[in-house]
Amino acid sequence: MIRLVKDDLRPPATPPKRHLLSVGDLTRDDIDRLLGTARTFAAALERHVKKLPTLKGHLVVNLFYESSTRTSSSFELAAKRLSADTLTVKSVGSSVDKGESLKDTALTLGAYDPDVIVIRHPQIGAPQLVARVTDAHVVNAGDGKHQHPTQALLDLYTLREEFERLDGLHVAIVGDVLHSRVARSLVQAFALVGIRATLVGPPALLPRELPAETTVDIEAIRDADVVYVLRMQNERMEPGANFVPSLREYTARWGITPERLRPGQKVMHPGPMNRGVEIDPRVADSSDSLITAEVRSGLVVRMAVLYDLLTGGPVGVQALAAAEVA
Amino acid sequence: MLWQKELPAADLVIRGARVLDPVEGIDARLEVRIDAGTIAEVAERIDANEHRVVEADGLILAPAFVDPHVHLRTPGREDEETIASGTAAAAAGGYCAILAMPNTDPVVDSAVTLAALVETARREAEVPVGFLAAITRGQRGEELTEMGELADSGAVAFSDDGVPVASAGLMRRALQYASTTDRPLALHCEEPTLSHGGHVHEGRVAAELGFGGYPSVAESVAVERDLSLAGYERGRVHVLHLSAAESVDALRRARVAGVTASGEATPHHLVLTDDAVRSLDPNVKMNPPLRAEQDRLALLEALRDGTI
Ligand SMILES: [Zn+2]
Repeated sequence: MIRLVKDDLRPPATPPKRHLLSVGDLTRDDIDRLLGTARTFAAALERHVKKLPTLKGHLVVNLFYESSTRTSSSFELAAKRLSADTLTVKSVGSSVDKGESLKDTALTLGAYDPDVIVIRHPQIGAPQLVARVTDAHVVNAGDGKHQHPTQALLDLYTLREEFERLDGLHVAIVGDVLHSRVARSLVQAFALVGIRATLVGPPALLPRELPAETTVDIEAIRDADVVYVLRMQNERMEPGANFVPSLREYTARWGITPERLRPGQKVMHPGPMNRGVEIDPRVADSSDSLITAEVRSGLVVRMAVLYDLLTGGPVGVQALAAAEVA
Repeated sequence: MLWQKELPAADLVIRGARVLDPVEGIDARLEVRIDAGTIAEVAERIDANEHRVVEADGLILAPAFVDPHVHLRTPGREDEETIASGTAAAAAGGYCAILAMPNTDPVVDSAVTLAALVETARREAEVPVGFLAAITRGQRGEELTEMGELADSGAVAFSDDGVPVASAGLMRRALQYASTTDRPLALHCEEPTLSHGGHVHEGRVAAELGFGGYPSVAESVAVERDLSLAGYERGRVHVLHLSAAESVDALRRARVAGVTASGEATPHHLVLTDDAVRSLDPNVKMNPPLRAEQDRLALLEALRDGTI
């Protein structure tokens, strides 16, 4: 009897459509395939093929309930580069603003028969809701503090382009892990591909019981191949929150400065950066910074995700690779 | 005091059921005769005579349950629940009596509001229902309600359920004054500066999914505080919806030390853990949250040994 109750709480059986809701949905094979497709697209873009006809006639809807220039424009451009039609709905100035529920918005947009809905929402699980009520493939572009799977994929892509491998790398993730969907997605993704992760930050910003190495000691970044700097979100630092005594103190003890890095140690950041807070401008602009590479990776990885969802995965990728060669 | 609507007293004979009564030590296929709403005979074979016969083959017949923690949402949220719908659900679920919490809109903090509820219960309630009244006016945690008048009007206990009484000083005054009414305080134990409005246990699941964690200690420090105060003032307290192993330990220790305290746990805290939150079903986010397996086992143990 008890079992029955538990099973009732599980989401309905395997969804008929493929979605990208969480890194947890991916296998190692999925990741290798997606990164391979992304590399194919990068090669095509380098040959000044700015636009591929691949997704002509498909509709990609971007539904953004949180302000985000970089992620929404990256998805929009990715869709356009693949010749898909795009429709971007932002919460400001739309019926979303007038108190329409997410479910009703999703149903309304669903009536246009979109092939993909890309959603960012402050509530954990919002993409799962959209996936349940529409027929579209759903891509999670960030839900609360939960997941941001395309960020993890673009970071894996960036790392692989830089190091030509993923297995055995060691990445230190530094800063506000507690409030970071990027960190959560990365920890899962790193585990899948054999990257060692060390989480570093002030105690109140490291979640308890996250299955990963954690330390408050900033010296721990020295052993890592890459230092991945998380954004210190000002809104988390309201007076009275007391996660840290002050941003000034945070910077002094956990800020990433040239002095804290080994020569040649690579640095990443999901953006937008607070220069002078979590990352010293000299670090951000140094030749060891992979930050602009991450932005470029974002475009081709999101193209790969859209392509993969709409063309049924491995078979499609092989066909594309063949076409590119020919 | 409990109220319900006038119902014709039934004359029944129930046949074919497996009769279970742990208190009397009964587990057998027996027949039960009810005369004018009261159990008159339990035997292997009973003549129906003029009684209506209920065929209950394959069913279990057991003493009805009592639920001391129900939200009937009346007044104010009749769209969610009414006295009629809530008591009908209770009857369907096998409950012979329920007690309703006072965190309604308006809060049950005056004899007038309580009297209106009693009036409605007399017209609509399908099973006997009793009402708690608030500890503080508007459940704002600032001023005590007029507990004497509320008790005289039928309040069975006092509770600010839904929110904790944040001030230790006010809790002490509530314990002192409630003792003059011979009614217990039913306590929602939560330290709000530690729970932060969370609905997911602070543990691995919250860490992985990104939910703001509501740690066990947010409950247990409040339980410890209130039990200490109850011991000091010799008050009577009932700790509502226990969820954490540490809280259960505190209650067990206080009872051994002679504090007049009881406690409860919900069925869902006895059968589910925070693992259920991985489904992202909002129905499994609650206050207090579903906790870890060790907490669930501690609640079951406390149920077995009578702490709960
Ligand atoms: Zn409560």
